[in-house]
Amino acid sequence: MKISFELDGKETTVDVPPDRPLRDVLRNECEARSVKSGCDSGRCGSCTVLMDGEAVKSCLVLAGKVDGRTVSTVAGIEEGSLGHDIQDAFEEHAAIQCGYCAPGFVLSAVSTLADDPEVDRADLREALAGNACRCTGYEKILDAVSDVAGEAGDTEAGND
Amino acid sequence: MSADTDEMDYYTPESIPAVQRRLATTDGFTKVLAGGQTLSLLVRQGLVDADALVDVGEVPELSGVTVSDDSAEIGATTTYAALRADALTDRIAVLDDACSVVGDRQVRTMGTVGGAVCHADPALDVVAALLCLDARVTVGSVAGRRSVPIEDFLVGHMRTDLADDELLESLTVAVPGAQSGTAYEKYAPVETTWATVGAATWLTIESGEITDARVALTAVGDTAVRSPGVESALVGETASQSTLAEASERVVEDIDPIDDGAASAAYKREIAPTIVERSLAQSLERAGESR
Repeated sequence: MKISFELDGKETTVDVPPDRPLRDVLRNECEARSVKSGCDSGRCGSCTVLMDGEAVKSCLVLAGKVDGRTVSTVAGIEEGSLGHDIQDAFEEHAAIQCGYCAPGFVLSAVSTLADDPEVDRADLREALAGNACRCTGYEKILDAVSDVAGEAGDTEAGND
Repeated sequence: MSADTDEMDYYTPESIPAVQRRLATTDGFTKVLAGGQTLSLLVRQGLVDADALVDVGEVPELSGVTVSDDSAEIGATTTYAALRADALTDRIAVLDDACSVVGDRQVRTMGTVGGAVCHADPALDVVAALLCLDARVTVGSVAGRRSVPIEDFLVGHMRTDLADDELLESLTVAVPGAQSGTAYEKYAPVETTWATVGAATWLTIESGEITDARVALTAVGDTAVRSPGVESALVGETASQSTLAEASERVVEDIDPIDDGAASAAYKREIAPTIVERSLAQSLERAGESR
């Protein structure tokens, strides 16, 4: 089946069986290797991408589903965007050790902050619960994303 | 490529009649695909090898909530996230509770309520919530439409009453009134994972007396199950913590757990009364709140 979608701003067409996991199609046909493969069962979140702006686990999305949609990975994050702020915060807070989970975390954070720019730490913890990290113990990741959320809150307050 | 015998057909009809015509006319094993959060795993494990997939995600009238006075109709492809965001779940706490503990944010974005009911895994939280709300399942085919109580729709472990050419269109649930409170309590060893035991409850309190009680459980039988034992022990009694605790013990009469990935049957049996009691306590508290 021919499946066309926008991947990180580029029109992309692949010819794959529609029941292939999107993650495999992204990593193989599209060579989007920032999309990681972890548990292969929808638990770890390392294959998280944005589909029409919402974080989804690409191992749980059948390829046929993305026809006509947009898919974003960390490779498409632009300078000056929310995603870039989150990446910077990960660096500042040392929220990365091995880094394998980071693309998924960054995209889940983008989706969460896009919905609620001033999300509090408790809600953030819940929003990021679908992403597993085996190095950092999560607190530094929460520190990093909270920092970006805090800045949004500060900016808002400053404008009042 | 279409001559390739391994090639799977993939359809994206845009209306309910178009889905039903497709289901009526497609040869071979045809599977309806909604959010795919459970189906994709079955496909990968080789447990579902369909000749055709009918993706119902593009059918607008299958998604969304319609509320009338004391009942609400939930479209089959309404996602957990959409249902939580809908004003309906402010009025039905048990649905909000259950939708909030399903999987994680990513899964709730894609996963649908109708998909859960059709998948009929007894460990799916929202199914027990729907059972507690006396949900009716509306299914339709080119031959017509029928409405079935969810208890009859769930016929066994991951088995439903849905015929091959039928589509689950919507679920109709009771909306609790001012004197009622509802809740869903889940125990799982790890946040975001499958329930060891879950309990959906509904209590109606009039002048301090329990006049209606509904208890439905997750992951303790072939399907989500009601507990008539607990329900009958509650109705007519004075609403108090001790009444709830005593009645909750009777849940063991109505459950038949098996060892599963979450826990042993013995462990489920051990903790079920506690989970039911916690859920009932929450429902009682909520029944007291003015809404």
